[in-house]
Amino acid sequence: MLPWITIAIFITVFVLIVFEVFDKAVLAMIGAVSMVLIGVLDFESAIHAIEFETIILLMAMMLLVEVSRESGIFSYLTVRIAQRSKGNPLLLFLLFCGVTAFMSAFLDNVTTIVLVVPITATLLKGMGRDPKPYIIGEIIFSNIGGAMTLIGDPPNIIIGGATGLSFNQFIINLWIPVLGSIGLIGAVFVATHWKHHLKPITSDLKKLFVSQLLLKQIKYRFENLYLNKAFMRKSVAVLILIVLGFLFQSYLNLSVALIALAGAVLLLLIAAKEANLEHSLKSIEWSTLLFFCGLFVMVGAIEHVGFLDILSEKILNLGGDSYIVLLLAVLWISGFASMILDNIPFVTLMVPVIFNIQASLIGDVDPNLLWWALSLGACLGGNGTLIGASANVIGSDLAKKEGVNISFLQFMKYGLPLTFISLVVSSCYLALRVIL
Amino acid sequence: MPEAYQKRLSELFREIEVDIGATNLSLLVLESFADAVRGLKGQNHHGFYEALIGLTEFIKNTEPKFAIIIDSFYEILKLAHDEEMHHLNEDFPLKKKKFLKRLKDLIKAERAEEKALVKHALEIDVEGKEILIHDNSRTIHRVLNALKRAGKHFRVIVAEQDPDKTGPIIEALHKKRIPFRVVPAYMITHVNEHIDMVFLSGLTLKSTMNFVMDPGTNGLVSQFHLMKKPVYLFMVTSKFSMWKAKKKIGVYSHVHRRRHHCKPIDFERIKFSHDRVSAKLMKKIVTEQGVFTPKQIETIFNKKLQKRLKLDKKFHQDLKR
Repeated sequence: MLPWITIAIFITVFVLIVFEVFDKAVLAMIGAVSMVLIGVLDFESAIHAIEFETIILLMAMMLLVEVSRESGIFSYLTVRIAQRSKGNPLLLFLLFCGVTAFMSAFLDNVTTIVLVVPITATLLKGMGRDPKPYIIGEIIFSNIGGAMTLIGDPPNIIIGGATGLSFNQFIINLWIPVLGSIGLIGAVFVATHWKHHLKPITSDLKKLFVSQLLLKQIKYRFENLYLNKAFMRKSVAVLILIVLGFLFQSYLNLSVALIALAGAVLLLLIAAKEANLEHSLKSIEWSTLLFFCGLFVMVGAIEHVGFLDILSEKILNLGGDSYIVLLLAVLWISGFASMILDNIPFVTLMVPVIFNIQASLIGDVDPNLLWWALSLGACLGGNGTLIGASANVIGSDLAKKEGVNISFLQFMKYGLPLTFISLVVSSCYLALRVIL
Repeated sequence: MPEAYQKRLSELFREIEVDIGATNLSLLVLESFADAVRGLKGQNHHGFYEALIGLTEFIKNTEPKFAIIIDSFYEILKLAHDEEMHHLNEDFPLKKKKFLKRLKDLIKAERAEEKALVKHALEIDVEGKEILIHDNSRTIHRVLNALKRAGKHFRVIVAEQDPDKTGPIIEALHKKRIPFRVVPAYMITHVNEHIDMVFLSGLTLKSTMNFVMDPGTNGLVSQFHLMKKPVYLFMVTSKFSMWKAKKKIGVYSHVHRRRHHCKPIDFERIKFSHDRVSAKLMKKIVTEQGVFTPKQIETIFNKKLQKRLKLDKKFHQDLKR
């Protein structure tokens, strides 16, 4: 009876999280506490089920991004990019989407979107253009870019934390499908939007004039902000140090979480005068961290009752004897699930499932490909719908504040085909990895 | 498109004017136009000339109208017109250089005018005086800075209005270490006896001899005029509106609904963009040409207007030909 009650609690909480009936952190904590109260896990096992490395990595990155953001460095970069575009719509699209993808690989997607969406909306609206395709493009590129590194997207952080795969392993194994998707999607986007949205305005004096004036307005507004160059320099130095730490992680023999935490502490130390510690600590999304803790306990509980073994077997059966089919099944199931579900609980659930599948693999195959299939499916699938990823929700909310309404269907019109393209690119990549 | 463009341009000008003042807006517009000309591709002079006429029409019809910008565009249009009439066969890249040079000269001239105005402002005796200021004007900031640099000792009372206007004034005074106090504009009567003179700036001077100024200025100026305390107005002559004003009241109102801060009561609230203040109420008007009485400024205005109307006439005759 106990396994059924456990599964019922898990499914109920999962559905409530999906439909956002209540705050998801509270729901996850209710689920976790219920698992302990009904005796599936004792308190100590529940604590052990929490992946503290993942939690610390998330916390450290949130702290780091918040303190760096206070320095104004990210706004500075965004304004510089806007200036560099000189109001050229195509350049604006390429620069903003490219930088969004790059920044999302090293910062969290939401931070990147918070930085680029308002400036894009202001600039494009002022130029008399529809900012919608640009904003949707940025959201999509932030999710794709985030898929390339261990710290780029929460699903990767969860996978990295659970498997011990290094920062470099993520980049080495994911750069081809990520850059391939960026290239292909970028080309499709430009080709389909050339006529109405991206055509150069260099022959239109009126449009050129307004775009130049807007760029100057953005510049002086930014220059009027209180900027501390020393603080900016310190933030950049620490960010570079951390990225170097991630890249040389295997030589340093340190965990990614420890490198990130060391960086955050270092920045707080050297920027003690400039950074507002109280404010930075308040800005950490503690509810998200609690949500993760609750999820880890709930997944630990259903793992304990053997449910995940059954799920693993089902997925394994889908593959039959073919490893390629198995990989594609993981990729596409993760992709479709991430379109409609929050990919964080989904990946948390899938991590032990993938471990089980790996244990049952026969023959000379690369078991890590399953992680890359899960990562690509979960990160890229989030682009399918407006609710597929946090960046989508935040991006559309910010756009709405700027008077640009992106409906669920409008987003899906762009998101679904482009997700399909990126999943096809990933499928080809995974298949080739098996064949070659 | 034309209506939307007109609306967008008006909004943009107004936003920038609120942020950095009309003179700096004008400089920003000229710099932006120069960048636009630099980036312009694939046009012959005739195409450029037509596009410029179209753009100038939009510039002339923003709400509110910015005389200083219209004035500059008039100069650019004049050059384009001369080129169209007399050098039609010249390559556009060569003309582009001419326009960029003219724009550079215009920017230089605007900066020089501002400097000359500040120089004339130093003639005012402010030693030991307390000066009232109200609008967030870069011209006033520059005048006060120049007086401070000249070793004059004075204090400032800021008549507080909306935070987006008064905030930058406080920042500027604090930055230049000019001693100041802030009093809400509607409470100024309580410090009347401390105030020795009033320094103001404005958006433009209309042919009706009314200055277009920040809302709330009319009351302050009338009050200090009655008290026979000197009101100085600082404005370069390129800000004068070089057309015959048709409307007596040309201020824009923004009517919106507001909710009572604690009771469920909705009410209509009206905000106005500007005040119109009679030039007669000023003791002196400080321009780049010197310090003038209202009567003298009327003469200068009329001379300038006549000259402009003549040029306009010639321009339209050429166009018809």
